[in-house]
Amino acid sequence: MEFFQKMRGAGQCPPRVRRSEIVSSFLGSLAGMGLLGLLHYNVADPADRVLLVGSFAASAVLLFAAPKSPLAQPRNLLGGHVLSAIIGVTVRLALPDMPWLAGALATALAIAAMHMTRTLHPPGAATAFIAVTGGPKIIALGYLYVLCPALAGPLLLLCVALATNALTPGRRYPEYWW
Amino acid sequence: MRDDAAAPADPTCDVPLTEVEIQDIFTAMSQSEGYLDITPGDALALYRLAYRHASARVGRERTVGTVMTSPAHTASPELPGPELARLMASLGVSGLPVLENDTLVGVVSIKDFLPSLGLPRQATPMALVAALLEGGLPSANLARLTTRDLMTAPALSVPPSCPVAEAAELMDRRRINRLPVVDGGRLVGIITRDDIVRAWRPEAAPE
Repeated sequence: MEFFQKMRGAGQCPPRVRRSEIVSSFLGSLAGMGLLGLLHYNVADPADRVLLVGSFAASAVLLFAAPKSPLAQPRNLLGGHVLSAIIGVTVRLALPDMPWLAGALATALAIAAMHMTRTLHPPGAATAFIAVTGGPKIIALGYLYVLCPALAGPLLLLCVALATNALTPGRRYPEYWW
Repeated sequence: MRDDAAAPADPTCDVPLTEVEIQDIFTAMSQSEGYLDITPGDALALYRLAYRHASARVGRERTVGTVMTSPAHTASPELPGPELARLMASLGVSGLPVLENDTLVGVVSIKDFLPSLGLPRQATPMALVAALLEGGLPSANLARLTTRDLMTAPALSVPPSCPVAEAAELMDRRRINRLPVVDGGRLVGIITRDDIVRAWRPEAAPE
């Protein structure tokens, strides 16, 4: 019965943040994703490059809404995305005929690798997954995917997060760099 | 794990620090700037664990020398039993180290008197009161004894560098209430259960 006991959830949901926090998180993520979007549609896309992938929206949650989290620190942001991108592209190249397994394996390997290197960043697993399932445009990039978008995107987000969090009273980012 | 273990109190609020409950953590989290990605339960567990480590560290790092009573009152081994009893009564102590030529030769406490009064060694003060009510105690025996006959020897002792936690552990294990503190063969003080309790008050914490 312990099996079911464990599912009961004896904990408590943390409190809601104050309204100013919500506004800051909204504005910060709008600026960060806005910059990526602008550059993607005006610069990268016309050159058949990709700067915007879904996993960056998840990074925005951490950078702009939970900047104190260890998961949101530069080491995790950059390390997590780059490491996972390498794993994602490698797994896709190694298992071209088994997309169902490649997606799962890329995700799982990325999680393990981020854990091992202390760069755990949840959106990184999405970056690895997207390397496998992201469609022809992503696949055409090959290992270039690691540099752009997987390194360039988070770098831009990082710059915006540094600026917006520094401009916000009561916030400080990062907690540590590496 | 026991959360109700005796713990030092925060002098600013008169609430033992281990009394922190999950709603206090929740309130503190509401007051903190920004989002903390930890549940109140985890934060509380972490807090309690850290508190326990801090308590252990403070106990480990404080030494007997910093909390002992010094100098200590002493008794000579040649002192007659009744004189010793009067001396201890006037000093307001329940035990004394016994010194001969500046060397610690034993410790004497209330317990050492009890057998000579026809009571078991582990008798409590109330047993003494009860015996008095039943028509006094045979004190003639005590009058013939000296401190040397009464004392417990050899005496356990600790150096001033001994951690308080170790002294506490020793007292608990041997069921004793005081330990002479000896440095290089010389008695420099005494540490009692009272001293240890006092050492645990936060305002007595080392800088």
